[in-house]
Amino acid sequence: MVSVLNTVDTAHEDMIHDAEMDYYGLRLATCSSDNSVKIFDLKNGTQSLVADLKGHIGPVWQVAWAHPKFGNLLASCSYDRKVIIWKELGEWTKIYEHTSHDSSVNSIAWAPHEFGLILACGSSDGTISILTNNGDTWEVQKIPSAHTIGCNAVSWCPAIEPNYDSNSPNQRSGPVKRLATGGCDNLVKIWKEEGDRWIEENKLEAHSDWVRDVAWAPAVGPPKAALASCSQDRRVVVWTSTDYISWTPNVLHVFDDVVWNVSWSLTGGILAVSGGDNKVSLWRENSESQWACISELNKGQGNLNNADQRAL
Amino acid sequence: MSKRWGNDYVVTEHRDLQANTMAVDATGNYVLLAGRRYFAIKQLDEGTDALRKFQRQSKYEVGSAEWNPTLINCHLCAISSNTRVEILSFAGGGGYDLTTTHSLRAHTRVVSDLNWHPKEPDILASCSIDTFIHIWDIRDQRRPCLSLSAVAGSSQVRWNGLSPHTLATAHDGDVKIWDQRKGNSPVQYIAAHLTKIHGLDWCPFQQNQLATSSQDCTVKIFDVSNPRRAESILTTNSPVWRARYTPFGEGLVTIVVPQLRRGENSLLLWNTSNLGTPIYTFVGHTDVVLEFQWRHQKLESNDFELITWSKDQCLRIFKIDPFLQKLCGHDLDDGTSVYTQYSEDNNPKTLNSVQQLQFHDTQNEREMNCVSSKMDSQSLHHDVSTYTDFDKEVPSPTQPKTLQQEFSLINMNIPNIEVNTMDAVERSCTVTASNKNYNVILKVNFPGNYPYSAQPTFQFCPGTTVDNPTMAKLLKVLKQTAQQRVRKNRSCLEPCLRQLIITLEQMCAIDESEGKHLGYMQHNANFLNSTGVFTNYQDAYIPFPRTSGAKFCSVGILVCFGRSSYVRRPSIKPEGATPRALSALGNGVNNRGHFMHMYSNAYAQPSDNVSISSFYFQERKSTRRGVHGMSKTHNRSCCRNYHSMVTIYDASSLFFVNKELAEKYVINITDIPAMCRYNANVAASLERPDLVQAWYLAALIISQPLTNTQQNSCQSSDIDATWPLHPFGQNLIHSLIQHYASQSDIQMAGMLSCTFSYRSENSDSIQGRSISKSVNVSRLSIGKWCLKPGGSPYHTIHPADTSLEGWNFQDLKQHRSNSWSESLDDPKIMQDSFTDTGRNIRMLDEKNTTLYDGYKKAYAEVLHRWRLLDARAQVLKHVNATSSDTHKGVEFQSECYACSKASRGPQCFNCRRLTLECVVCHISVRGLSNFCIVCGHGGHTQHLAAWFANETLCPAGCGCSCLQETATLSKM
Repeated sequence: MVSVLNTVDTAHEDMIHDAEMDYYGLRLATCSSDNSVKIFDLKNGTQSLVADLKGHIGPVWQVAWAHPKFGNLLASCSYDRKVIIWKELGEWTKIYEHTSHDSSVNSIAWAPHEFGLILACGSSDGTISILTNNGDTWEVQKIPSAHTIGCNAVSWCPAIEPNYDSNSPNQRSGPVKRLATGGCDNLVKIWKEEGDRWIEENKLEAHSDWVRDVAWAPAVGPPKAALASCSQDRRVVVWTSTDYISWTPNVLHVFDDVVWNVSWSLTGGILAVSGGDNKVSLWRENSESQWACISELNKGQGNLNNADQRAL
Repeated sequence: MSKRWGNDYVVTEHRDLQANTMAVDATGNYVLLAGRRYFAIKQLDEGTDALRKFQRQSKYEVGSAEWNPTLINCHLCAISSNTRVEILSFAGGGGYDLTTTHSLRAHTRVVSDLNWHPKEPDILASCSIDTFIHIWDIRDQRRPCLSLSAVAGSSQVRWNGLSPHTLATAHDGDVKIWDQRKGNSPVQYIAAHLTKIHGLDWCPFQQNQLATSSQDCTVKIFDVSNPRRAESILTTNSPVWRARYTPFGEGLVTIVVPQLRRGENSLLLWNTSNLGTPIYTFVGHTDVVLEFQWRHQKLESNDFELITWSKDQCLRIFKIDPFLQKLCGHDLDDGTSVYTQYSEDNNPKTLNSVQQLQFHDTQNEREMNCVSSKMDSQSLHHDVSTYTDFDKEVPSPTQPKTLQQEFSLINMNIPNIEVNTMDAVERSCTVTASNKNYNVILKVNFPGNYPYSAQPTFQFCPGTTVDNPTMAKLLKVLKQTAQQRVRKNRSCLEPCLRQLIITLEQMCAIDESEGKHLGYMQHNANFLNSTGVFTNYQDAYIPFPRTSGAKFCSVGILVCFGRSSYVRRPSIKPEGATPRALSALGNGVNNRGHFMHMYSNAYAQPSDNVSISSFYFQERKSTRRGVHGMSKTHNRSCCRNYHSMVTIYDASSLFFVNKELAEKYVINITDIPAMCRYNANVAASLERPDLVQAWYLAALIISQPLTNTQQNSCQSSDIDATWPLHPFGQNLIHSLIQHYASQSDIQMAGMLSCTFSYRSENSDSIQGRSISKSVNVSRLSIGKWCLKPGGSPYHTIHPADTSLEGWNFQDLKQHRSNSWSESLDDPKIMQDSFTDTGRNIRMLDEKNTTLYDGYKKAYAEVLHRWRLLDARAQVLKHVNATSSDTHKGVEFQSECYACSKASRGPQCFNCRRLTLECVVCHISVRGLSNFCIVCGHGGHTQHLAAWFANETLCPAGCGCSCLQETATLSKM
């Protein structure tokens, strides 16, 4: 069912920690413990290195592409406590460096493009910073002590139009900015922007160890919101809510090893899970809200290693 | 048994005892050594043979032992043995016999620790891994007088010496603080460490200060009233077994976990105000130290002794020199003795033992003496007397009492800091701090009541070479540091100066990291050494790096990276999962390297360092150097690219959305049934029979009323019920769309939403044929919609329009077939009295507009990512206007030239004429127009272009130079 489009030899000199393709699926950005970020052009199974970005002085944990309406923008975050925003202006250059964190920055995420060019960063210093671009400058806003010990993951809620009825057209306001974060306090927290402040809207408790990743499901049907979180406790939990107030956890599965990543497909419905055991599995929810693994039908197929790769 | 009398310590060796714990009694005269077979009591001040052995009949080891700290019961000693606590009395038998007087049983598992109450002579607390903490009154040994239930087993229990009801217990990595008066639950919970806490100790001078020592190689000092973050953290190279406060000053003594036996047999003495490096190392033991305690015999003297018992079966007594006490921030009671003590410190022999420390050079010394001789002895006396009054309330007895003393005691050996002047009379001092980039001259003024909650003021003097933001930052740091200290009534000059130089160095490092690519690696080392923030204790809080992962990107792409299959983790225990924190790298592989160290060198020689790769490649370490060499020469090797591959999968077949369908689908609102049939054929050609059915169903739904009206035009409207009017109509369509949405087939949901959102317009065109006259209220002329659907049979309200705002081009299109009417809709007339209004109900329920818009937008985004921009635009055309898209900015209104009423459209609401008149030809403008924003004159674009080709002033003759004015306005 799933075929290999491309195998990219990134030539990083150390472990890769993140890889992401751009909006159109034409470019690949990778980051590594060798402190560099690389960008590749992928065409018809071929690859060419576009840029090798050096600016971090520690391992780079994550990269994130911004929506193309803002130009070709990439953000990266690192152990060196910095977040760097790179832009293609002829060639790739650093346009902003965010240095206000006191510890490793573990996760970054661009806000839905409807809100403008906004980046959220979660750090081991326990804070979350929100960078808003105002033309030439970047305004920094901080949520202090968001997670005790540290924040490991950030994810934006998709921009959803509030469900208005035609009888009260005046009550229409823009979509609400929401952010989900996961941290070393074993919690998933949901933050909501009210005025110019971020307030903690909800605190989701189900994990018994550090939360490593959170991912907000793309919203196609506004009445239902979903959120996936994964943790050191080897669990993946899918949270659902109809009102953003009460959330129902549903443990998708308990894996063999710690779970590091959860990623939703663009159209929703399929969740990719990966973790410390070097395996990737894909999960789909059936109409009875039961999650089933769809990629590990045969043994070893989920293991994305050389010979096995084509079997997925 | 042998004995050596050393210069600063006493050693006695007791090979035969095999004691594993030791306790010093309250008087400081006796030491209990306890092992499985013997108890032994040694009188410290007597000579060699002052050891009495008592046989012990037990198969269990003695866990912990402690003498009662009160003088009344100082003959009692509590020991723990398996699940019991036993109280031994050394008073019986003429003071020379050790008898077991009590045996306290309540614990069900091994007693892990016990602690006498510091003030109450009969109260004892014990804890166990059975999760209970029992508090005993030894006068009633049948049962504990209070039992605290903790959910987790407890390893340590400690009473607070200053707050008699408070006790702390350690539970794995957490600390619970209890108040025995509120025994049902802890009053405070501190998530102190991530690994096991081995030791707890309350500060003897500050009620709320607690030190925890842990397996994670740190000692943390908490303010238990505000424990969210440790006040300070001490980092060592090995797991810490005990950290105990010194009974003087602000010292802390640590030992390593005995079980490790990693050859670290020393006790380290630290000053809590500077936890960077230990200030002294007690050397001597040849094996790990099992226990250490303080002895302070004569209250009036400053003689403190540290008594230690080690696995090497030696008991050592270290005398604590006054200079060591001073290093711990302890100053000796009488102010006059300061100077004599001080000169003693320059004794070279002592200095050798404390290598890190060099006191003032002689020049400074002379200066100091000068100052003191200048000092008015009266004022000095005055100072002292005022502060001694204060002193009674001061928790810490160890600080300098006058500024004079602080100046004299300050450790001047701060790198890159030079003290220019110190004037205790003026109460100020000036220092110069400098490093590569910066030079800071700082004047510090001390207020009269300093340091009692009054912090000094800082001032930058001329000659300082830092910019204003830096100054502000430095000032902030200094103030914070000072504030922290004086809040506790402690002197703050030295901490401030140390903080100053640390901050400066950090800035220097940051400067270098900016802009300079060259050599950034080399500076990295600097950066790391200089910043206190970047020490490895934080690695314990940083999640372990991901080395594999999968991300869905774009539409159907799955990007995967991971370790190759031959990359195994040899270091992982069978039951051990992947570690959670980065610190695992440092501890697991070797205790020297921490994460950042290896990164500083990772480029140069990756194989020599601890790294994530080495975590997985440990056994391959030896070959790795070769690997890199080979990869450079493009030699194919099995190990090549072991970590650098990213695989990109096309997972689009997992999804219902299909790019080929998207390319071929059409949206044609003029003939929707035909469009549905066309799309059905597209689906058929791509072998999607499921979609073919859906499209035919859609075609059927949409075309039914059309056939009805054509065939049975005279039928009554009841029979002529269209799908929208049918009770199930809307629901059918809704559930059809919902079905696809719930399957994440956003393509079908989006396409159907587009299809059915035009049902209403389609019915209009049908009605256009059957109804000769209809009224259309132009929303353009009203500007905003405020009318409800309904009205006479001659009224056609376009339901699709009701949610639109502002400009609406569909309206213009519909106006063609409609005649104008003077009458306005009456909003009060309800639609239910007319039969044919049913035609105007939308196929899609209006309250779900947002939902359907959501599907359309989601599908549009998919099309965008596929770069099918035309198809995307087609879909987006069908999205109802939403709030986020509304135009924000300047809007222009036009004023009717005939009746001077403002309107927003081309037609005047009042007189129904076109509002714009051309200033050149005096005819109403229907097409392109241009107007001057300043004078308001304008007209047909063509006419104006012709006019301004030669002229600069307004054709109306108003004298306005329109071209220039407009140009300057638009520049704004």
